Amino acid sequence: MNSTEKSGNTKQRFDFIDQFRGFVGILMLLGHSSYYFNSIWLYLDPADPLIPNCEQFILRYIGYICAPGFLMMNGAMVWWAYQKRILKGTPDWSTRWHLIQRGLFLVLVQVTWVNSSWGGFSEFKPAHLGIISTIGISMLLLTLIIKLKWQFRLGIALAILFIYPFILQIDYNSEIYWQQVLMQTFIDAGDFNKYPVLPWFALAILGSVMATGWLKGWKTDKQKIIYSLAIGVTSILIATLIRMERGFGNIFPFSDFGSYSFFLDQKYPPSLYHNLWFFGWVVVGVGVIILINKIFPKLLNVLSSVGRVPLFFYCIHIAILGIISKRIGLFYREGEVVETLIGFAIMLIVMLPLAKWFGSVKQRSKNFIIRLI
Amino acid sequence: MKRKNAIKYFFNIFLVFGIVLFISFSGCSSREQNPVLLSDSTIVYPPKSPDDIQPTVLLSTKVGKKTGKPVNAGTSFYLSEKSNLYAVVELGKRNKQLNKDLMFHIDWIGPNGRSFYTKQINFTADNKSSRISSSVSLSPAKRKEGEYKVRVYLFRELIAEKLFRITDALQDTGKQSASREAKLFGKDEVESVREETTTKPASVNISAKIILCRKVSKKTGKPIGAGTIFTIKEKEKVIALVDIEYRKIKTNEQMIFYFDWIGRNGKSFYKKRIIYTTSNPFFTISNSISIAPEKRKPGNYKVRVYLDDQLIAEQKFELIANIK
Repeated sequence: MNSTEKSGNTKQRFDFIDQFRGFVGILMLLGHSSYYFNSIWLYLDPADPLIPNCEQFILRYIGYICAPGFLMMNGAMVWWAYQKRILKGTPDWSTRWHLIQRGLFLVLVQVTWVNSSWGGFSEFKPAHLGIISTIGISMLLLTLIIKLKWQFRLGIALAILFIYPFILQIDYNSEIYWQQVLMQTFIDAGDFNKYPVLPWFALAILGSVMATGWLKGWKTDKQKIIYSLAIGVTSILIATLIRMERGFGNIFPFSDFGSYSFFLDQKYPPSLYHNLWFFGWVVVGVGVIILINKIFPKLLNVLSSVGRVPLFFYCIHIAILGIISKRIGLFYREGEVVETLIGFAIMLIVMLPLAKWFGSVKQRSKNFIIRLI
Repeated sequence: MKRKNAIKYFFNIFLVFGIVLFISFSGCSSREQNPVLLSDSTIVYPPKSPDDIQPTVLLSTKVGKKTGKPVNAGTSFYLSEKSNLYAVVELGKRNKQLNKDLMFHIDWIGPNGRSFYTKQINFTADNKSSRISSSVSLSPAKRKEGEYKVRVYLFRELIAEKLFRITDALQDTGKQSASREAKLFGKDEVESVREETTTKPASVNISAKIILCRKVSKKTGKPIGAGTIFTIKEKEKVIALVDIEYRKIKTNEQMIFYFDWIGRNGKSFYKKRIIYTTSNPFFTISNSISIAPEKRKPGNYKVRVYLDDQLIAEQKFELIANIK
């Protein structure tokens, strides 16, 4: 492989990851537009969702892929960043420190910016965690095992996923602050943190395992597509079997295959079914994006501009929605599906140029903070 | 050639995706999208399968201790310090769903559209119950006047809902919001279903509550089929029972009440004078109209009750065509 090919491959590898992240980012914007504009959120409890109709179900369920997608893509990029730096000759500890800094930065962003941005910065709310801090802590933990072979990482991830339903049964008193913080940071979901690290860390590890194939092991696009689809579909089938058994790995009961309740197993914190199901769909999604790129090379470029700056996209769109809708009160939870889609379209018009602009700023900038975002 | 193969590959993959998605989402709802109004004003999302649960929701401030059935069911209730409001859901076709785990939610939604209480009820396979219930307080400290709704979900899917009104004890009707029904049935229909009403506050000494129903039990004197929506049928009637509380009643005072039934054109079509003599501060008067097809047309009606010349209660109702 000559250097040009190598360079071309490197770019393509980043493209499909960026594009998938962009795809997930846009779905997340849709979910958050619903959170601010859709009146269903007046009565919807995300921990125990009740669905009034099919449109609302689809709107809510689309967002379910976002957290697994981000965790897995983050795991993939942590693995890639480590490999790239080691290949360049950066010392092992220095490489890990670089990743640790990024992880800590995400925790900081969560407790300072993100927590307060939900309410349009009407108050400073540093005293809880969320998805961004969970990604950050997962990064920290991943640096500890990033050097392991993919088989070991896979083993660790599967061990966590299969042991997690038992760990979830640990009893604690959420009224006692230290117990709440400890348990909800790592194991259970609650007011302090809806995204406990343990199950989501497993997905980040699985992302790093998939990156071994996507970014290094599978040399051709055809291999990437076939392996992605095979692994993804297999995982979806295993998840389906677990669900249909209605026992281990399930948390919420369901009526029939294909019903709302079949899909809506517990997300906060996720069941084994939930994690395997969405791991499968994320892997299938990446495979499909590689496939689309192969046939229509420029079709998904728009997603890249979002996927290159996912943290910026996340932080800014929530802040805009928080200020305009919640703080100023513009259409805050007044609409339904159509109003949500209109709000989403307007937000896309605002956010896409912003993401593109910040992407170019980030590319040129040598500023430490800007490069972290 | 490569591109041709890729396109073929692309379409094969999408065919598979299409099939998977179709299987996954085509059956995502086990209920019809368009709701149906039952004669007791329960809004039901009919099941696609005839053997699936068919609920009816009854609201009442009392539930029979032995039977568990609601007493004096209706859709309009007063704020009261010590009262609870019960939602009793009768699960039709329950016998077709035996030996299955079932998960229900009863969700109470306030005038601001927010859920204020949700109860989850799980049936294990050996449970044969055909009724679920939930209750909330009617205390003024917890509730405000306004339009409420109670929703019933089976496996997270909305299967029935019922709108009801909570008013202050001194008023029997208040402003009615049509927005929820508008979303359900379309604006035009809703505008004909409900229009804003104004109620003259009754004398501070008297309060009156109208309960509309299809029948009155001969044994207990309690209303049967209470609600605000009635189906036009041969031999069917709408009966207005008016529970009156007149605190400063004099011994054997003779009172003259008027029932005034107002049609969909806004004009009175039937008036009835009732002379009532009692010493009891709590009593009930009643009057009825026929809703046979040759006499009534679908539309919005109202009944007003006067004591002498003073309006003391008003209740709107809707007559709907009998759809076989």
